[in-house]
Amino acid sequence: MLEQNNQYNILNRRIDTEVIRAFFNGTLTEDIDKIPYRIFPKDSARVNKCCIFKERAMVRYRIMELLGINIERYDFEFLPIKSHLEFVLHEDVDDFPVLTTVQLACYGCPPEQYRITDGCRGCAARPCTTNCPKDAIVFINNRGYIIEDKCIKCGKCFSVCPYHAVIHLPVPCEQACPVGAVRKNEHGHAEVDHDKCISCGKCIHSCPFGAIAERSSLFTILKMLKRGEKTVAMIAPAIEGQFPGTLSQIKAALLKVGFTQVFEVAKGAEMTSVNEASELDEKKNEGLGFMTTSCCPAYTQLVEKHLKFLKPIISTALSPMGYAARACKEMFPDHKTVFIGPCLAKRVEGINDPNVDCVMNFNDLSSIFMALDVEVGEMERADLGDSSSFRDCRGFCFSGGVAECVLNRVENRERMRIMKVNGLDKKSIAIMRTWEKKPPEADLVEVMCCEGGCIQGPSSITKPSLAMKFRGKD
Amino acid sequence: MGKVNVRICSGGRCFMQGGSDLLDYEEFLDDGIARECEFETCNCLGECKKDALSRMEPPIVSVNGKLFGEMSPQKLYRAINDELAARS
Repeated sequence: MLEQNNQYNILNRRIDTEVIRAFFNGTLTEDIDKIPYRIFPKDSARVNKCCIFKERAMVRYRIMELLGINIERYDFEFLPIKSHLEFVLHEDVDDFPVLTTVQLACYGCPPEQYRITDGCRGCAARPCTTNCPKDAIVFINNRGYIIEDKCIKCGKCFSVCPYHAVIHLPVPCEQACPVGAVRKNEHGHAEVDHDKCISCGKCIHSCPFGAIAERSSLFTILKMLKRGEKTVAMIAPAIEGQFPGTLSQIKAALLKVGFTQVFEVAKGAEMTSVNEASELDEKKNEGLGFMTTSCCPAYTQLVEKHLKFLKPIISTALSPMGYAARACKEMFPDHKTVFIGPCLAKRVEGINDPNVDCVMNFNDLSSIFMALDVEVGEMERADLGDSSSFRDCRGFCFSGGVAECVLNRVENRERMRIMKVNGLDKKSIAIMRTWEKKPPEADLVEVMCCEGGCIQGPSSITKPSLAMKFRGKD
Repeated sequence: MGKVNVRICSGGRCFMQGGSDLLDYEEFLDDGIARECEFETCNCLGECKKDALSRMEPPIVSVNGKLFGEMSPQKLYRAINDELAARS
């Protein structure tokens, strides 16, 4: 996994900021095709790729991702970006799939392999040969070679070589995908199998070339804000600490950029925990076995697509976003609801939920703040209202936080056994598969797709250690 | 001997363009070096909002009054070390 603030993400936020600023200034239609040249002018010293022309081409694709274009299908190279924009300004695009791949960006990494480098000294002990389960290592001129056809990529030689002469060349996107949904097509480029994909977003943040990206639905929201429509921003508990200010300052900043109401999804999380707690009590009393949480949308998609036997085991409670959106539609019936969170899978949940009109991530929001020069840290604090009943639910964004909130609301917390699945990967999914035959020794299983919880979600901006310093300051 | 004054901008652009990692200085600086510095966070210094020719790219940090743009943890470490070397 790459770190959040890598060069590529920082460049993307710069591009997004330029686009959004031009949009609000009303100059986007004439400016949009100039943006690649503004980001990379002819004397630019920042060229990382082979040449400045490819950098500009990548800026073009980035803008298309931001416009929400399905690049696999509509990559018409002869069209200016402007004609894509005109379509997006005219119509709201928000459909599946939420991921898109940029073939031009994909390096086409060779298949995963282990290779013995010239660091090999042809030693006498030869632990690589001894440990190889498939006899795939041969020695020619006193140096080891791996026979590709025999190698099963177990990595034993890699870990035993005393000279670290064996290197591992992974395919980052394939390695990061917990469900094997990223594969190479016949041209060697990455392709996402949308029938298998659980929208966890791990591939986006593993590819050092940025070949897989989210199709943003930001423009739908930008249009609403510009038209001055009534919108309610539903903010995920993870938002606190992602921006340089307190929660009440973030609320004030959201009101400043044009949202008319701000609603804490932690309040929806309270409903989720109340319902999960009563369900858990019932299951425990009747001896119906274990229950898992339902708040992580990547996990619910995992169950839907890969672990169908868990379907009756997931809590029937809605996710915090589900309850929050329902409450917002009741409280503000003439408002559009916009969920703001760190999560890609919430996009899918949002499209399927009629109460949620749009979903935006923290990267998008940070670009809006930058484009409109909103200084979160200098805002006057807005009133958050009475939050006493759901204060603990702001911890829903941590691994363990959901279970804690449910436990706070059950009849007798002492008798409940808790298990945490902290991060979905190939290994943890393999363990979950065994539950079909042998249920886990727990009453409540809390599942978080992202390690550490939503606070490390795919579009988070700050590291959790820093986010903690900004949290709870109101 | 005075401490090295490090002011890390936590204005919107700096914070969101990688400056948040700098605020976590305890993570990447040695205790010994961190003790020789006094850290402050400050609101936007305005350097990123100037016109294209004189603008600095965020994140911006001031080390003993000298401004640095596009700061990274590694660059910050070097800038502080340079100041410490100049002091002695």
